[in-house]
Amino acid sequence: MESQHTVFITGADRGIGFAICQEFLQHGWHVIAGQYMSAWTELTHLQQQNANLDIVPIDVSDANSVQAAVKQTVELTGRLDMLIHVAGIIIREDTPEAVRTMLQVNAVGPMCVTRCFLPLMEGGRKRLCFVSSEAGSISLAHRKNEYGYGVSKAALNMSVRMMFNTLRREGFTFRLYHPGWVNSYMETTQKSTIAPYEPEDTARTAYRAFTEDRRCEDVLVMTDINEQTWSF
Amino acid sequence: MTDQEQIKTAIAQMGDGFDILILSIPEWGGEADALRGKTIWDGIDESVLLDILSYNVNNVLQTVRAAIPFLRKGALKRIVLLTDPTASIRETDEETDYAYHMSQAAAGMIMKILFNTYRPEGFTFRCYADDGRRAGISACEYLLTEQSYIETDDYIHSDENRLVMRDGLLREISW
Repeated sequence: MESQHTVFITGADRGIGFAICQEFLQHGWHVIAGQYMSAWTELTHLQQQNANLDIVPIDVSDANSVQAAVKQTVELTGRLDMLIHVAGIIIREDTPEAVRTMLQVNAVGPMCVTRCFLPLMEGGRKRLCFVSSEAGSISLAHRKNEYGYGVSKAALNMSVRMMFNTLRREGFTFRLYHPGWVNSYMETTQKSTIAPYEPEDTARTAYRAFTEDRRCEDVLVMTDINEQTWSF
Repeated sequence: MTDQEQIKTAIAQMGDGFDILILSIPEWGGEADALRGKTIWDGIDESVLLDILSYNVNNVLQTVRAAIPFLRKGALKRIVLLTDPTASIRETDEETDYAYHMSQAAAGMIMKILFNTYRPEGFTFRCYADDGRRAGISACEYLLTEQSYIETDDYIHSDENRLVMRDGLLREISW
């Protein structure tokens, strides 16, 4: 019998991250949910219904917090099969401080988390999944403002490319995912209602994209909620 | 330069207006050397990485913001990014020097958003990728080239209405 797979998911408190947690739990995975907002109770309620869910605090913008999360994860599992980066932020202004914060959370944070978790992934399935955005696609970008968000996602995409260049030959596989326009909480404590998709919609596609193997893993591809391919 | 007032003052000293603004990302210097040659396995200090990335991005953004009113008064209204082929997220095979390459990708995105915003009012854009081979035309020659543009034609029937990165041999490099 195949042993249970384990996944760590950042930004799991709510929205897309939470929905992805639910999806992996439904498919029998051991889910370690990276929690940023301890006051947000959805994860706690989900844990009460699922023995396969563990919650680990993590702030992806703080290297000490990331190291502490790794330490806690090691105590929960000897091996990590998949790491999913969902944690992200959007600020609708481009002050130097706002730009720095978006770069910190959206671009540098995933690098820090990846670097710190890599040793724990060596004995596992070695899959790294990044929730990016069409906003990071330079060739297709259509925005006329929100520089900070766009540059943070472009920088993320570059970092993923560079990690791919190193880690692919060591057996790691990569997924880069544009979740679509989803009703989420990225800007407020209120879930938006104007987007065409719900977090559960994109989580279903993400699960397939993240877990299914591809005929060729040597190509880095960004796919979306409709399983279409994007330039990035 | 990261101080907004300092940048404004420097640009204002150029006079009433100017034609071309040239942007670039410094390859090395200061804290960047601490990250030189390091892959994801090599203990990258993310706080240094963030400082460099934030400095580079905010420097470009603030410089552009200060320059736009002066470029509007110029004839060419041209914004130029001097970069290199490893700025291509699609094509680069680089594994080290994250701060530099992530900054280059960010600069490409800034150019794209600027293009989306200011091309309709007549601004023009050039991205020159120097591959260091001294082949083909120089950055100076390229940034002064005129690209095909017929105002009455369809928007898509014009090189000036595309943001492309080219090397000295005028080969287009994907973003």
